[in-house]
Amino acid sequence: MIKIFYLIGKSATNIVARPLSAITSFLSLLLLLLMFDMVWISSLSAERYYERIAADIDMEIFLDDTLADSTVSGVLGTIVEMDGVADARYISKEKARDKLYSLMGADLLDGLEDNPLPRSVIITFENDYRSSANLATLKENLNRIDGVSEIYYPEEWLEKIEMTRGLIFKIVVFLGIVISLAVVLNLLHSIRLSARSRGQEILQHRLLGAGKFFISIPYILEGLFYSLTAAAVGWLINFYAFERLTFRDFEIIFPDPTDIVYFCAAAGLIGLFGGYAGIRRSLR
Amino acid sequence: MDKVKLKVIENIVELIDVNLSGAAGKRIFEGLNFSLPRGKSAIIQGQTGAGKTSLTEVLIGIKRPDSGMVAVFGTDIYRSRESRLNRVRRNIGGVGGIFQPIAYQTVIENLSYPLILRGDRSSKRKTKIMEVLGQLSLLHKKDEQAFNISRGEQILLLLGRAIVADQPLILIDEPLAGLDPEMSDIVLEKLNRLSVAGHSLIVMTAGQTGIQLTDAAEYKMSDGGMQ
Repeated sequence: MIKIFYLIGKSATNIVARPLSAITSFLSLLLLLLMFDMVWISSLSAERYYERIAADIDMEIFLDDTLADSTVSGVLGTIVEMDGVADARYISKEKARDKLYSLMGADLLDGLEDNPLPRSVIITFENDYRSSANLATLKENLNRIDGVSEIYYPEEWLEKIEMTRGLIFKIVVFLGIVISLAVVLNLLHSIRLSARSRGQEILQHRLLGAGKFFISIPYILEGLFYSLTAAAVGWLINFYAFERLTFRDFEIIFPDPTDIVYFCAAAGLIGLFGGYAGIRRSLR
Repeated sequence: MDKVKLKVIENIVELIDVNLSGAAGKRIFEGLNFSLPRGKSAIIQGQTGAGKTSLTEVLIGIKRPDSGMVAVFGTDIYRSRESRLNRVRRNIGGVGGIFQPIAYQTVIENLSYPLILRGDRSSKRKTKIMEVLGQLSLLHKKDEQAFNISRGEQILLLLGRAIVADQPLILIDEPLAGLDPEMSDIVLEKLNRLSVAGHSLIVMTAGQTGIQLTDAAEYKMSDGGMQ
């Protein structure tokens, strides 16, 4: 217990003894971790935005004029039974005409002998089914049904948005790796400088019989302190800043509190590793 | 107390056929043999470059010889695990050469570390340190940083470090170098007290410095060996 108190105190002394260096290390780590937090928040918010617009995607199936009205309910039943289909709504020629009227504010078909608008079925999907691959499969299956003449959904748009989503994910992973590396290097150099400035102390402690691990602990704790406080302060800044920002049609999404705790713990682990790597060379 | 269970041995230091080469292959020790019986002291005299500091470094386990055996407290320090070496080191004090006070720490902080390693409580540490500072007439300097005290006081501080930790073996490299006659006498008096108290001292000195210790054998280092 005495040794634990000593090690914690020693770590605090190491930090306080070089205030400028400590502040520089802390701020540079804070900046790096803030960048990571913002990338994380942006990706979650983009994901939510994607989910929101994807929820509006539906598929419109146009029925052939040769299909008898009596068989439409059979076709509808077949569609509803298909995988991923949450609901199928039949739009008759008359309903289509009404829709056109309400859309345009005038009956454009007035004067025509027949209603040329096709009958259609509008499909909405189950929540997890709105991927371009799933919808392409569904389209293929629907095309096999007799009486289906044409199928429309925003195929290209969905593919593009999925590509963007994939790209955002890759960028987040890449930035995560780069920022983690930068955090480790930053800590490694801070701790190495701290250890170098205490070279004589480390040598004397070794001569007095202190083990390498015992000597390392204050430096490892120093690394832990910098990274953990930088991670925690980073999130506090984010909460404070984003609480005061509002965007139209775009909701800011924060990670779950549990994920933030895990993130801080991971930053702490990186700090431990950086601290260990920083002091290791001084103990050779 | 985290003190090594020292083997009951006749010689607390034993060097057998030790060879050591320095930079550019220069031979420092050539078949060096040396032993120091428990409770005895040694004064090793040698010119600059004779290998006195290297001997200190070999004995504390930071300069591995090319060949031969170095046993301290019966432990072959270059063939034992690091934890064992550390336990041996906790019983070796040092003054001068590679042993220096930690400049930016206070006198008390410098004396505390060996006791922290032993796991002594703060109150026990303080009592012991005050007692030793009193013996060394350094009480008035207790809160001074080590770089603020004189060279002679630094030597006394390092002796104090060995006394608080009750280290049976003390390696002393040029203890009187740079000291005025008055401080030299004080240091010599403290060394003799330690020797009488049963500490084994190995004192390295470059010249005829007038160092005399009770019950100490004298050696001369030259040509990589010791007579």
